[in-house]
Amino acid sequence: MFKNKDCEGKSDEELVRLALENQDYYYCLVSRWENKILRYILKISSATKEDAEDILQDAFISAYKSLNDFDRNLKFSSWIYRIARNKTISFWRKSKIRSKTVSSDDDLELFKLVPGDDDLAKELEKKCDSRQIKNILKNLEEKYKEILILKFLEEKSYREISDILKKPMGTVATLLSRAKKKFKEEAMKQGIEFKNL
Amino acid sequence: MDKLTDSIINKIKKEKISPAPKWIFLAKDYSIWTLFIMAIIIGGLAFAVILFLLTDNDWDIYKHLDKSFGEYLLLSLPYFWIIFLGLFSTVALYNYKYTKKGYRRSPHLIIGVNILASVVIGTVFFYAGLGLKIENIFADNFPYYRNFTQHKLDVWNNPERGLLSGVITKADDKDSFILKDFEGRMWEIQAGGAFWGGRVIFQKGERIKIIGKKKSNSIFSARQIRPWINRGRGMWKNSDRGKDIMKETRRRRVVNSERAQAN
Repeated sequence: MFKNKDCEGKSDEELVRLALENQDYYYCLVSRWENKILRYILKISSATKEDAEDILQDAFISAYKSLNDFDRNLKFSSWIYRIARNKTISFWRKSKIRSKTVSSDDDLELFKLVPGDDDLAKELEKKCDSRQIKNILKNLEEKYKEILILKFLEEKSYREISDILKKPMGTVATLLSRAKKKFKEEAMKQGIEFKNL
Repeated sequence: MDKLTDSIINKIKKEKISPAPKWIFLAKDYSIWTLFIMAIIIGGLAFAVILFLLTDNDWDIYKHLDKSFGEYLLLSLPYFWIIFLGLFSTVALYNYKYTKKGYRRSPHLIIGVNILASVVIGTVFFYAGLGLKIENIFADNFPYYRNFTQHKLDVWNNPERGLLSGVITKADDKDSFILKDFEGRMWEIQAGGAFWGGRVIFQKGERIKIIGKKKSNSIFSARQIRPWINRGRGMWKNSDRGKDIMKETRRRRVVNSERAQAN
């Protein structure tokens, strides 16, 4: 039986190399990232937990099949986020449940803000609870919602967002700036005032 | 072991899933890069033909055609090759975007670099004479190509407007020689005092363009004589292209007369 201690002290990229030689090392990568990826799928898709788990399984199996295609210059996390995102989009297309809303309190936990240096993040942290963040995001276009989730809820850098969305960094910056503006506008509609609009 | 991780790993083991071999991904990457490079080279060839057609065009004769320079410019642009260049630039952009890190570059930058590459490669090809060669290959092998591009033939087959072209068939006297135009009609060319421009060589078989005045149905007074191809960029000299042009002109004449009879 493979144990967690076999994964300790090894980077993701090292584990990819080891998993190509010994299948068991893939366990480390799956156990390391499954929760984060599952939460990410739930945030961007509004799928049920069962569906999200199916998407997650599909994503990890696809990643395993394509392990030889993994670019060592990329972070494994960016790669698996990208695969999970693509699988989620395929799921949307098949099931057409993209706009389904989340309502359970468990799901609202997903929208806890990660404290960051960004002014918007700080101000949001002070003024909004999870329910409000979820309600604001719900009313935004998918492209804005998606980038805000990656930046503020998943704490991804511009480079990582660029690698996940497969867009140039400049486009990511522009999209993020517009998304923040749209977020503030939507927040104002819901009665949340921001100083630096 | 975590339940979800367990189910993923068990599925991999149960279904004996294994990573696809590296060569499959390498083959895919190399195919994309090959297509990208090919698209750039083809774009370069298209640009070489564009350069050739633009430099071969006589930009000063629009007045003979009662047109403004703008109208003449619009008539003269090699649209076929511009579309061709645009098409292969799009193919190159599409392929680049599908390379592993293609998404990291802005599409504007890719288009810019792509066009620049086609311009540089195309200029090299042009100076190597490939523009003319490709134009000839298309003109000789694709019957409908000339309908798009042979505006030159129509322009220089206008004796009433003072524009005539053809092949020198008798070259005894530079001041008076015989020319067979591209429709097969014979002309006596009175060229005493005419200006011989470009690198035109006075010899039998030479294809020329003449600016002057029609005196009768078989006599044309020349004021300026130019080579059919504005030389310097091409290696074409006394090839069989003149015969091809005559053949094509005759074909067009037959088609036009059949159309006229049908109407």
